[in-house]
Amino acid sequence: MKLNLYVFAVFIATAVLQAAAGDLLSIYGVKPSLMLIALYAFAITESAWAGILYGAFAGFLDDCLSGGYIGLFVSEYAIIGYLASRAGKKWFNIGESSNFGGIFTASLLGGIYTAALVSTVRGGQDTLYLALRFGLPQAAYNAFAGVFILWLFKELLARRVPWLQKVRQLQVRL
Amino acid sequence: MFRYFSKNKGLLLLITVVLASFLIMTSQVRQPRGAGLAERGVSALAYPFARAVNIITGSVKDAWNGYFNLVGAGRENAALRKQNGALSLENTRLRNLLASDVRVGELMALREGLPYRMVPAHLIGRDASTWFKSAWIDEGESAGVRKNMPAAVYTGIVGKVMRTDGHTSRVMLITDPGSAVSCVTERTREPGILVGEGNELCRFQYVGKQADVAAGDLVITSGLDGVYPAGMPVGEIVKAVKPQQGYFQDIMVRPTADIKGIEEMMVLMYTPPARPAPEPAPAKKEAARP
Repeated sequence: MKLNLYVFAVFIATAVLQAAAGDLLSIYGVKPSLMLIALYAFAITESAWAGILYGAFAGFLDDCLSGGYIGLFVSEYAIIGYLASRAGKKWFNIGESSNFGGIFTASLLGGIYTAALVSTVRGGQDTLYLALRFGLPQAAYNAFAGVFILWLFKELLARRVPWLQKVRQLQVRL
Repeated sequence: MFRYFSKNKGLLLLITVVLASFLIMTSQVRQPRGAGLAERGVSALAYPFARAVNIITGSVKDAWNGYFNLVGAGRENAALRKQNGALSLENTRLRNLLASDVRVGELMALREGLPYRMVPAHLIGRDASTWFKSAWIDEGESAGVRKNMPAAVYTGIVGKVMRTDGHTSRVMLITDPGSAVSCVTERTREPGILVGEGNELCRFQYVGKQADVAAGDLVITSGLDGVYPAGMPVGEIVKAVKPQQGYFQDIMVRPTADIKGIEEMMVLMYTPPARPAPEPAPAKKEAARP
């Protein structure tokens, strides 16, 4: 199995950006999860193993830079990475409009999962309320932001920036 | 079963990761602790980059504000616009400097008015997720910051420290859905619990229907939760509705501190007064025998 090194660098950069500047994109307390979008973009083109490992790493960074519990986003993103890699082979490809549905579904599933865990761990909070209050709007926001970012990446960056092509070839074998 | 998993190794890895995560989460819920080694490592690694991004985004914000200041001057001729733009940007920069000085001055005023030591801290970043509302500040254990210490600005409390490491800490904001602050209304001393709503408002819970509470009332800390000192401003009631059914009023509170716009805060080195030890139960008197 091959893992792309640049993916981990992208995750670290995304985590820092999300923590330091993510609030600028916040609408009524909801902000897009750039990490989830990045994970989706990488997972749909990779194997299930890579999807899970990418997801676990991305989730670990998010756990460390958020006020939740270590393990919450690790498990969520590992599941999303796995599902995205399985579904990606069949239905999705970078730059296609179907990614809107893919990102929305992945985010919504992740949102319901997080809502269930948060309401269980903290108590006194309703899963349905949390899923509707945070999960659903974030899924919609992620879908719009994700499709735009993927389109931007494919159309404007990947074709015109030669060093990106070289960076994408840096891989590690497991 | 074994054959199935040997064919689907990915699924086996996923189950392992999820189970391991559940175990780690369970251990944290059962025994809350400070930042672990991994969190400290990630914080230390991300801190300089986050600080840099924070400074850059601050500059972009200033430039953006400067741009809006320029819109009115767009009708003037090019030379005037250029001059106006330069002055406007300079003005914005100076106003930001002045505002920063004013904020620091206000924080210092807060420092002088309270009987315990305080540590001023800058905000480096916010919560990376939508689900939690926390702030990442640039003071940690080295400055004496400890778990459960309250954080405030001059207008009111902001939250409490939930995790610390060497040089940074994470503050759970009062708008976090997991935050609960014991409060009373200043006017009528009606007690309740202030819980975050995940946006800019909080909900003031468990205030009875008969309680005299109205929009505009100030909500202050009661000091009963053992975290926040009593009498600190928390928020102002923006809505108080007495529902037809149920025992409690539906009360929404807007924090007096500008939670979304804070850039600096004070961590209060406050230790709640020790509660008196419960008196030992009196020895059971032997039943009088005839």
